[in-house]
Amino acid sequence: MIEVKDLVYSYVSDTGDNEEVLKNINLKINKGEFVAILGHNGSGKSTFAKHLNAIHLPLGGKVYIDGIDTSDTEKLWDIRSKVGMVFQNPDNQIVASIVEEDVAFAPENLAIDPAEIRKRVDEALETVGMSEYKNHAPHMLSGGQKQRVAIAGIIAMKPDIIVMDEPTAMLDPIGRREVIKTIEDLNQKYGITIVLITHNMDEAVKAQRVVVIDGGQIKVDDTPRNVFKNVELIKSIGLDVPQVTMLAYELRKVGFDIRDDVLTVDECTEEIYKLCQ
Amino acid sequence: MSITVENVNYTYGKGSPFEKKALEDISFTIEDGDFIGLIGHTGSGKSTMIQLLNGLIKPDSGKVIVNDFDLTNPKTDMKKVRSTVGIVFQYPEYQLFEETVYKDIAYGPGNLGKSKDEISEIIHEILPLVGLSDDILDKSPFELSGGQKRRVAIAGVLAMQPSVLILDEPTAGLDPAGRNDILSCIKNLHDKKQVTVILVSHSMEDVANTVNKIMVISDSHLFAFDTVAKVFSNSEKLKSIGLNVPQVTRVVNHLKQKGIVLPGDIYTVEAAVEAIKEYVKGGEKC
Repeated sequence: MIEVKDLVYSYVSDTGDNEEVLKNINLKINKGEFVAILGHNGSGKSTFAKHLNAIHLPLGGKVYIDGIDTSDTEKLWDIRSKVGMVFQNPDNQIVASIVEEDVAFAPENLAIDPAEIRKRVDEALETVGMSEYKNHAPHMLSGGQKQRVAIAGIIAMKPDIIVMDEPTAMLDPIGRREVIKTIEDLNQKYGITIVLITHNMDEAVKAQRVVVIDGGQIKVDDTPRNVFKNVELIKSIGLDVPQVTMLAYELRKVGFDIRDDVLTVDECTEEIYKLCQ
Repeated sequence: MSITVENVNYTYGKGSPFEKKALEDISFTIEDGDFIGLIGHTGSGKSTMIQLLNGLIKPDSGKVIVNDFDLTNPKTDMKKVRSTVGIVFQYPEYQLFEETVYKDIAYGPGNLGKSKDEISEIIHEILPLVGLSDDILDKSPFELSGGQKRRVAIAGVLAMQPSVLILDEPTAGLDPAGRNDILSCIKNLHDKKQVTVILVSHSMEDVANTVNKIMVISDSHLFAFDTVAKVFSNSEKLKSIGLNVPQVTRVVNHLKQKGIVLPGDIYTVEAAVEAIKEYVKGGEKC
């Protein structure tokens, strides 16, 4: 479980000013949840994510992972092995020249028994659907495949929580689908808690809960359905809603009686079908 | 004045074990002032395509003719070609390097031999087009926000006054507001300066809202090149190569299967609202 209490963080800018990036954030994420975090560039969402595995330490307030205070430096390795991080650019996360060696990198560093590492690497590659590439060179893979190898490297540490900072931003549509499918599997089949930072509203729709950060504060925290129906609020903080939600919103505006919480193509089709009867 | 590509073939690593055909027998003509969305998966050949259009690479066979310059002719002055066709690569902000924004934008036109006065005039003309103000010029490009950096990088290419502008995923990694800013800035450039624009994108929604024509490259071949309406009307065909149509077009197609045929070509929210209004009104009259 992740517990964030009164979290405050600031950077010192080039001109020497203190810029407060996170202002009093309070958030609880339960085991097994799939939470999407939205916010425009500079909203503080990546800074927030980096607090979840002690890359950043709070300047005010506390972050607890399963009850462990992240600012307790003696527990750093416990926290890092509980919370795995996946970043935007797959090329920056790959360290070895063979896929399976790359996946083995983290468990090797945790000084795990070789037989156990072998088992974990095979399982992790199986989980992300990359077993057949285990002897390939990572730089020859597609973006989506590389990102799945990076995710396998995290899974091999057997974390309870995986935090992903825009893992699909640099991928093409096929790569995005592969990675999102993997994320859903990790959550549903393996019960791993997922914190997904994204700019893609169609990905956020797949989460159970959407947290919107704006100006270093939590603006909204609700189910995707309840978040995206506030089209005006979401737009006003520089975010977007799925295109079908927008369509339903525009139809309501011109007087049609249509649900305001449409999220998928099928729901939207159904609603418009009713209108046209 | 147009771009003509005739029977172009290109293979990487010819004769090596990694030999890979990137483009096969591609032919098309782009008219002056066209606004084209270029779509295709990673590895489809679209990056190879755009590099051919300003002579960064030469085709193995076939011809590339840009505004009367034959790029396959070794005597062609490539400097002129490169100032005619400007490419904004992916994540162009990584290419910023100068001490100030002014110097960075001035780098391209300086290399093309423009005088100081000309460069200053060009920069002041371009800045508002990309949505930046004069007070940014003395700043270091590295202290700007991501969206601002990207606009400076685009301005650096525009400063060479190209008549064809190619942008490779200019909105990648930006948030929705930043994405809309960049897209409307590109649209503005096209409309005001009559620049021919080729926009490489993975987002069908973005493409549908901005361009006039869509070019689809799949598996080294030209899969489709037509108006937005025509390309999106064949959603099954697009699906077969792993591409999708915008969400609203999918809704319209599903409705059609259920017997509700909305009038016109619909691929934007605005068009869908109009069509549904018309359909429902028509129904009341009956």
